[in-house]
Amino acid sequence: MRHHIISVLTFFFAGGASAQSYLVEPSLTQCQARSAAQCSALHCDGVTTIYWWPCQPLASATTTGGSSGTGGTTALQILVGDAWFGIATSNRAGSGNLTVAEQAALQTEAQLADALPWIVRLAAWASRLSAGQLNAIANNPTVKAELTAIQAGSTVNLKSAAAQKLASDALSAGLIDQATYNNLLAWQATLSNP
Amino acid sequence: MGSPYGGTKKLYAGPGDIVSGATAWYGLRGYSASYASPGTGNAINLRRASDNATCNFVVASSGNLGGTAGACAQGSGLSLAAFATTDATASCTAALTTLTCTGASSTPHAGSTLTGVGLTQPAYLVSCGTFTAGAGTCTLNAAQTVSVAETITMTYGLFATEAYDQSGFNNCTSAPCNVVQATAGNQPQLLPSCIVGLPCLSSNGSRALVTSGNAATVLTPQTYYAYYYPNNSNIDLALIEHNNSIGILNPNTTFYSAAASVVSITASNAAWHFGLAVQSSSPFFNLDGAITSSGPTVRATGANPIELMGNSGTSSITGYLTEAGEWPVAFTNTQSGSVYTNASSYY
Repeated sequence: MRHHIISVLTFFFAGGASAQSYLVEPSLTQCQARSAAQCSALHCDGVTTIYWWPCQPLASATTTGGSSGTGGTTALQILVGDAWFGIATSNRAGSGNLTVAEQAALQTEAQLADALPWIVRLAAWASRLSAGQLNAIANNPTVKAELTAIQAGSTVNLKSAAAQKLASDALSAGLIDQATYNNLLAWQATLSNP
Repeated sequence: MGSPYGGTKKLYAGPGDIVSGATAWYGLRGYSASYASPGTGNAINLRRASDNATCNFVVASSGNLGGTAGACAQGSGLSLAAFATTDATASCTAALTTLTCTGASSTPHAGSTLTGVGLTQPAYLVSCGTFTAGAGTCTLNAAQTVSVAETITMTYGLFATEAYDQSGFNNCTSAPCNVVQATAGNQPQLLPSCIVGLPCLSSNGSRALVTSGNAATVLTPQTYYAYYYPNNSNIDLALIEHNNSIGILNPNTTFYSAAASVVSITASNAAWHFGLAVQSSSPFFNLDGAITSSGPTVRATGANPIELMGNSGTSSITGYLTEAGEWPVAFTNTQSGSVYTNASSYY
C-alpha cells in the first residue's frame, strides 16, 4: 500500500534527541542542487549517492522565509543535532554545513503547518471528524485523554504516535468507521498503487 | 552430494530454487543456487559513512552475503567491517539506551555499529553527545546492559544505495529491477549482525529503495513475500510494492496484502516474521508457516516502480528486512510452505 496514510517518521528506535527542521528552497531543482552540493563536499561519488539531505515537496508553496526569503515549493530536511544529517557534517574525506544565513532561515514543522503534507492545523484536523464523532471521542474514557493532548497543540502531526494512536483507538472502540480512520490520518494522495 | 572425503556437502538453496521466475527478488543472501554459485553476483551496493565511498557486495558461493566485488576501489573481497572501517574504540558500560564510554579513540558517530562481548545485536549508535578527553555518552538503538566496562568497537555505518534484483529477468525497461536510493539521508542502513549473526537492512521511517523507473505490469496473479521485523512501524507502509503490495498495517499488529482491496492478518510487533501473500482468485496468507485463506482477489493495475521498505524515502517502515520478492504467479500452499521453510531454516 502506498505512502498515503501515515508513518512515524520521527519515532526512531531509541527516540533520538535530534529535531527535524526545514530550509525552504524556491524549487525542487534548487533544493536538489543544495543537497547535492553538501553531498559533494562530503565526497559522495555522485553516481550511487548524489544528494545528502532529503528534499520534501510542499503541499502548498510558502511565500516568505526560506533560503530566498520568498518561500518556495520544496524543503530540505535538516535533522538538527544529528551527526550526519544536521547543520554541519564531517567525515574523513571532507566537511560541509549550512551557512549562517541558511541556519537562520530554518523553520520548524509547526511553522510549515499545512505546507508540509503531514502537519495540519488543529481545526483542519478536527474537521475530518463529525461533531458526533468528536463528542463520542471526548466522552470515551479510554480515548478522551488522547484527544485532550492533541487539542493542546495548534497543529497535528499526522505521522506522530499520538495522532496514530488516537485514530487506532477510536476505530477499535467503534467511535469512528474505517473511512474516517483513513481520512483522519491521510496526508497524501488517495490510494493509487496499493 | 558426497564429497571426495566421504562426508556430505550441503548445497545452498534459495527461494528461487523452490519457485523460479520471480518478477524481482532482493536479499542479503542468494536468490538461488545458480546465482550464488559463481560467488560474483551482486547483492547490494553500500556507502560507508567514513568517506561516502561505495562498493558492491556479492553473494558468496555459500549463499551468504559475501565481500566486496572485484571492482571495488578499496579492494576486493573485503568484509563488511573491513570496508566500513573503524570509527572508534572505547571502554564502555551500557544501561538502558545509554552507552557511557571512556578512553574513546575518537568521538563516535551516529549510525556506527557496535561489537562487544556483552552486547545484544543489532547494536548501533543513534546519536552521541560531546566527547571530552575520550569520555562521553551515546544513545543506543535499543536497551542494553553492560555493567562492567568492556571494550566496544564502533564501526562506521553502512548504507544501501542499491539492492540488486537477483531474479535474472529484465522487467524494468529491459533491465533488472534494481532498487536505488540516491539521497544519503534516505538510504536504509545495513546492520552487519542482525538476525542469528546475519545482516539486515534497517529503516527508521524515512529510508527506502525504489526502482528508478516503472517495472513491467504483471498481468497474472501475484505472490509477494518478505522476511521482516516491524518495530513500532508506520501503520500503512509496504515491505515490497509494485502493482500490488504487502506491508505493515495498523500499528505493527497486522500484515497486509493489498491489491484492489486491503486484507490483513494479525502479526506481532518487534519479532521476525515470514509474511507471504498470494493475490488471486484463491488468495491466502502464509504468515510464519501458518496458512490463512484470505486476501484480495482482484489485482490492481498500472505501471509502477517497485518499492522496498517504503516509498522514495518520504515514508518507510520502521524495522528490519532481510529479503523480499514478488512472483507473477499464485504460489500453491505447498510452495509457500517450502519457501517459508527455506527462509526460516536460513535465519
